Amino acid sequence: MSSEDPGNDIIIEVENVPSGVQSHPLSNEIFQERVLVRSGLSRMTSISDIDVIDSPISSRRNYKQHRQLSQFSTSLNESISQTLHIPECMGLGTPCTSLESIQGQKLIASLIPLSPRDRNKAIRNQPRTMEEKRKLRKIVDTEKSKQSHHIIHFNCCTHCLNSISLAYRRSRNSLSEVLNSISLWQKTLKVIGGKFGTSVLSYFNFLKWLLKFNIFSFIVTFSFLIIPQFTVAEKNTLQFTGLEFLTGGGYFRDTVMYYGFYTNSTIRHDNSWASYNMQLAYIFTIGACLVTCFFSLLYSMAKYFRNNFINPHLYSRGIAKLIFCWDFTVTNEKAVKLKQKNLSTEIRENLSEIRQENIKLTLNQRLTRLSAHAVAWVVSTGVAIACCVAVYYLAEDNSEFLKRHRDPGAVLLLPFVVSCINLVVPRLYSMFGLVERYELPRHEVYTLLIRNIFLKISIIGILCYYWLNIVALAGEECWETLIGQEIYRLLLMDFVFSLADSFLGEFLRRIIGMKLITSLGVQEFDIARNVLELIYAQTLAWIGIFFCPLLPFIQMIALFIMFYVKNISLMMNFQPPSKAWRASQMMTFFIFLLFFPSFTGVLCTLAITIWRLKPSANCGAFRGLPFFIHSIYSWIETLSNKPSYLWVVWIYRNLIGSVHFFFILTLIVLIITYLYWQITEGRKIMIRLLHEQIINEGKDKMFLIEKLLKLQDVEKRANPSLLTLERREVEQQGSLHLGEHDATHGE
Amino acid sequence: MGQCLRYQMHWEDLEEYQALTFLTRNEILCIHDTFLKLCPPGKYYKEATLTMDQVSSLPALRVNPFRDRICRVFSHDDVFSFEDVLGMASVFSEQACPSLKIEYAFRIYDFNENGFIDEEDLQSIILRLLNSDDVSEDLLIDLINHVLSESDLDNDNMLSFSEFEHAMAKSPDFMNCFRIHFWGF
Repeated sequence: MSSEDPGNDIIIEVENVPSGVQSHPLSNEIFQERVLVRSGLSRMTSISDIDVIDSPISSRRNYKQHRQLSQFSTSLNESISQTLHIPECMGLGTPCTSLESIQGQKLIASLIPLSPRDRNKAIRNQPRTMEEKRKLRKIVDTEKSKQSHHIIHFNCCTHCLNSISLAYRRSRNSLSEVLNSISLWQKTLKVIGGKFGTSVLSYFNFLKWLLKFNIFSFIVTFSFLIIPQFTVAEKNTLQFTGLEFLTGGGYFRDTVMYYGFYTNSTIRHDNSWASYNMQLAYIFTIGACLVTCFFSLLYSMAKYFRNNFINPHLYSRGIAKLIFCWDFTVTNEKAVKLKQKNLSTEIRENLSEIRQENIKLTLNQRLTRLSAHAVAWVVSTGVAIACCVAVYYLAEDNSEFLKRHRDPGAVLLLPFVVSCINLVVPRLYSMFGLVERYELPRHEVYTLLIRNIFLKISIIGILCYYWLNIVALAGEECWETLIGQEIYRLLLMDFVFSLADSFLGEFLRRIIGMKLITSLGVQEFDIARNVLELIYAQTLAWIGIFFCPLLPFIQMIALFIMFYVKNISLMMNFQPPSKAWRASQMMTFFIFLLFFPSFTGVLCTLAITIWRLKPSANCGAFRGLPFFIHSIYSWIETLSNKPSYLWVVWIYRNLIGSVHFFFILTLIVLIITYLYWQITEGRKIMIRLLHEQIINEGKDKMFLIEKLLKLQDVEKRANPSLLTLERREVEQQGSLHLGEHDATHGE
Repeated sequence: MGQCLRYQMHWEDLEEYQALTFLTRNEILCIHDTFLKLCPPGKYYKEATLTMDQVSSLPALRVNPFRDRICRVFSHDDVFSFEDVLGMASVFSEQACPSLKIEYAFRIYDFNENGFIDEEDLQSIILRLLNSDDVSEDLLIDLINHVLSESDLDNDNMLSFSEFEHAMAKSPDFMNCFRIHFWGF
């Protein structure tokens, strides 16, 4: 499209830059390479007049110039976005494309081939009013029925299929409705979310999620272990005193609560009924519980990682997040005012941190910081190790003491000490924060979490070591029951301490904060510490499930009560959190902690128990066997004598028992992981390149707009009546398409 | 506050609303009840409308700093029909898809309704969020600069929809925060 008067027009040609371009170090060169400006006006020949915008910060200094430019670009973009796709349409609640336009037709065409479920989903996802969605649905349905008339089909079959799928969809909807309605604690969670926000809510959701694990484990162990055992239960000859609830021993020793009570026989009531092999049932039930928990954890972890993993390359300070992610769920007026005050404080703190970040630290300061960190780490690790050693020697002395004195209350000493350690040492770790200085506040949170989890896991680890290496080999009569009792006592003491902390500790802290030392203020809910306590209790419950099959039930009751206690204490003693807590990222980290040291530790412990330890000779479901695993070996032996089950034996011998299989499997998994890693790296590079491309597009746009404005000014000054600006179609890659403008004014 | 004639919602209408929105059946019925309590007496619920003030004073929206923008975006001709209320609740429900939430969040934050979140919009947002009188000019400019430097990719001093979408995709908390429960009060 060339004009008649070459002297008065600007012909701008932009060359297409191929995608996947090598990144140029200087964007100036790209400008000059890309834009050829041919103009008859002599004043406009030099490109060097125009300031190429180098850095984003400097570009914002010149507000007036950019306001002018932005106004021009706004009007340009407004006319441009008319032709854009539906997601880019403008505000005011009305979509810019009606159903009759080209985009509407395209939408309808894209919806027709989808299945009804996907079609409904796609229609629901449209940002349109209900009326338009209804119309869209009707049009798509009529189009679809028009098309399907051309397809020859068996009427009754498709009719049947349609009605079946409709009935299936309806039943699935009603099932999810029912599940939602019996969902536990919905109203309470809503109230908590309304008053304290999503961060505190995440703790309660975590508690609810752990409760689901325990309910499932309880149902499985109840149906497959406890009920069959009840049918062949022996009479309990021990006396019942009230102390059993605390010590777990005494009367409870000969109940379904502990491993020692379970029979090792094959239960057979009438000769006509099938037999029930208790040994296999025991090992398979516990195995099924743990395998289900494993896959459920893995799935949740993967889901959270996928949704919440932020590319660290693009990590930003999070100010945009603070501004745009206002918590809409908060509905309490006081909470909203408090949140606004806290937001203002936090924004100011973030800004000052950014200012300080730019100040380079001197070598001295860096050395002092590093040494403070090193000292703190050494001290915290030392304290953790000291606690572990203390617990180990206490456990040894305690068992010596118990052999001599039959004091039933003395067994509570070890759990008491462990709970005291769990109460005091994390608070000690929090005090290190007064000495250490971090660049980013999230480093502080992560460090604290890592130290705490190290402490808790090492205590559990040392206790497991003690149980499996000393108690199991000491020749006690029923060592599994003893371990079960220990775990029960630990859990119970932990529960009692949590209750006491909530009722007394937090209450006292509120009184102190409000009346005595008012500068302390009302406390905030420490989400990290509470979640770690939950993880600790759940780890113990998982280890104990082998030695004490009723433990999920106890943990279930404990979690249930904890929910209400924490809820009441929260409402009475706490204020909403002042800092924006990255709830999603933290939840990812907590679920990862639940998986990595906690659940894998449980699996290791149980694996050592099953493969290495000798069951006690006189009690339990595996009595008399040399190792626990021999029950599986003997089962495979009996199966190999039955011809119809040879495939099971084959799977066991060649897949589970064979080293080659695992070697090949590991190799394949490693290769796939390596390939995925390389793909991720490639994608990161692509993201960076695309980011640079977008920046360059923006610079192009600004450059062109500046050019146009300057030309407009020159034209106005030179020839006010003639304003001929003919712009050839400018092609730019990326999302912006500048439409063709036939701007023939005057001529 | 009179009560509309208690028309039971037809089963087909309920099914249709369930298909077209992200709400469950219970939630739709709860909103229906709330709507009936607020609308003028004697009108069929499909024809009745609520004013923006009535919707702003719902307990879910009463203290929200952006309630007037929410009402403006979801209403038509300055009134809310029942389907407008359902549409609003659907966007803010837990099951809504991210793209829908981001789209409407963009419309809500675009105060001057020019299709972009520019500096003027950012200023209004910040003033609403902080809700205090002592916000200095320097702090505002500083904040606006930081927001734009983080999210504005093509350096035109305003956020287009794509840039906003990109910024929100980087913050996973957005989905959890952009929720309002309109029922159960």
